[in-house]
Amino acid sequence: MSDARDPLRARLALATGRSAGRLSQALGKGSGSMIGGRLALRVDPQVLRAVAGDRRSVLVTGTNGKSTVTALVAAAITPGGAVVSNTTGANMTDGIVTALSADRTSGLAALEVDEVYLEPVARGTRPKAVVVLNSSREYTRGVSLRSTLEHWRRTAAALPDDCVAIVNVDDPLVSWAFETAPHRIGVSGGLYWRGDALICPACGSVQDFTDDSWSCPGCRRSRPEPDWKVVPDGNGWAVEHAGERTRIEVTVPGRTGPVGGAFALAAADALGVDVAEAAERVSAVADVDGRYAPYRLGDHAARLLMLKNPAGWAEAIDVAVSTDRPLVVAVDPFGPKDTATMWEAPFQRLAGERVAVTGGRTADAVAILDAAGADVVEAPDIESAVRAHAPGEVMVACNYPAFRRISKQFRGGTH
Amino acid sequence: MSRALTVATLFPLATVAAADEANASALARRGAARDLSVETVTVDRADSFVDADVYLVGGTGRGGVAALVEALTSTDLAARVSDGAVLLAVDAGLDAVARSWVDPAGARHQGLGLAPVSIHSAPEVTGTVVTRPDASLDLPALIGWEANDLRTVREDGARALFTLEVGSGNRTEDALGGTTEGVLAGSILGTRLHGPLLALNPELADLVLARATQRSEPWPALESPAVERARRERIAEVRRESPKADWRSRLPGPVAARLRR
Repeated sequence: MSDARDPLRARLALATGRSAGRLSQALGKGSGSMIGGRLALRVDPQVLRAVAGDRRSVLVTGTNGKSTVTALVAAAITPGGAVVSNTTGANMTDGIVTALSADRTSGLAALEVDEVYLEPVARGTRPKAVVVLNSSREYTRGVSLRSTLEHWRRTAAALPDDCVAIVNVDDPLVSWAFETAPHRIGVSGGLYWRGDALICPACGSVQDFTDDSWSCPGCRRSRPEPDWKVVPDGNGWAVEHAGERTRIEVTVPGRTGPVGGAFALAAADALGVDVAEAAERVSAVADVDGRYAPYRLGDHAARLLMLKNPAGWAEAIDVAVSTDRPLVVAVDPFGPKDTATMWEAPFQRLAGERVAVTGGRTADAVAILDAAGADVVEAPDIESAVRAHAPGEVMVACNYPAFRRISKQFRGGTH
Repeated sequence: MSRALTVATLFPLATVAAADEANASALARRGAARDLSVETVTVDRADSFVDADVYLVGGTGRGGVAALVEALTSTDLAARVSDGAVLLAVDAGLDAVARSWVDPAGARHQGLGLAPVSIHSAPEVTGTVVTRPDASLDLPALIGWEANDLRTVREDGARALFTLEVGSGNRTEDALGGTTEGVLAGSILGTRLHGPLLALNPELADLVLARATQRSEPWPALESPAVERARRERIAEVRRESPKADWRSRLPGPVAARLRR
């Protein structure tokens, strides 16, 4: 939608983008969420600034968990007014232009941002808060971790004075990259994948890690004291901040849920939303794009996780081990190297445990789990994979295409 | 009697991740089955360099090669390799240990000069690779991945590591008209095939272990059914999808090049 206050060029850009998006939908080429924004940006590179306008935005970036935390942030800030969010997961500049141009009235925005696009999106939206979850290497675009961290550091230094960087202080890479931000708030967000953070990004020394902290013997950097911390609370979780303890209920299993909740509460607080009210909204989020709500299969309940890199698999394995839930691994084909990074995930933590495997890449998953010493059971379909375990809750760890297929199947059927 | 081997992965963070870090654990697994006790070490800094029997250096892309060359130069890698330690250099790692390599802007730089190859720019290729069995190295048909815009020219008559049934490989003319891939010179194995190459192909892990232990007779047969099945399925898939022996590839080089345009 255009707005009469938009510069002429931005209006033209948006009109072009809109018709391309409709055309793309009409031709059945997709949701139209990228092409529209892409063309609008071609006509006017400043169009993001026009569609962002003066709304108050929270950006969420990191390597893993962006969609989930963006959904929790969107919920947490609703007491502050209507919220627009790029819920389709189109998280590069073009997708964000499309999302913001489709809703020009909401005064708040919760935006998932691809880690490589943080700089242009931050420049265009002039956010009030930037949430930074974690950082590990990514395997598909040929971008080195080092260049992403340097890009973040540049971006952090150029953030507006009234913007708060809400960063995971348990991740030394994130902590370093956002040192340059005008305001920084720390969340203890955990570190599932130490492998990429062994070396201090500032001085190249090998970092010292303890169970819940890190420090660098070379340049004496250490984990900043977090302002927001997740703590066990009875049989659930709470978030501690400024001496107050706020209970949150999240369906997302393991520590992932409460940690995402802590980021969301910190973002709400940065926007002046009452934390207790924000916690109620976060607790009401039952599901994020079909990922976490349990699907019932007779006496079993299946929770889906979608993983894309060793850090993601490490987290899924951690959830299964720490919550003592059995695991199903579901992987489908999506290209030559579709299962390559799974060889680096710490499946040896499941040695001796029964793991059921299903999907079009069953042979690969069996080889990987067999090498890790797991007790592997093959299943012809997802139902039998889940039923290969005793009744109760089962974690289903999927790669992207298996996740799309299985969540669609479950939604159409037994949900 | 079990023999102990040290496998060192060198500077994995210097380059873009290519999913080849599982090669170290693959050597440990295969080694255990061969009655070798394999210790794996990751070297992240020059001053933590260790004396090892096998060195793994990998990653992809050319962005990190200069940093990798610099890091490797300040270690004893060259001395260790001339003493007979095995070096498996994959993709960006092969660039770094080559005699010379090219950066993305086309500028030529010196490498460590351990592998007798020079690297040149070429059009980009990506895809799954199937090698031809090689009785001289006791290797069956293997599976791997390539994604690069480089030509690898072997020098001093060094032999290739593989010949390919499917894939582009070194992209240099071979006397016999075959597609060659990588280089094998003494204890140095160089290849563009990145990813968990040794995990997917345990026989190649055997080759590395044999060179590291100076074993000349073949290893006793050892099956790993799960990995072999995964490889069989991949190879079948690649053969289904790759165009039937492209007729252009049988024409003389210049004619084929003209037709491709």
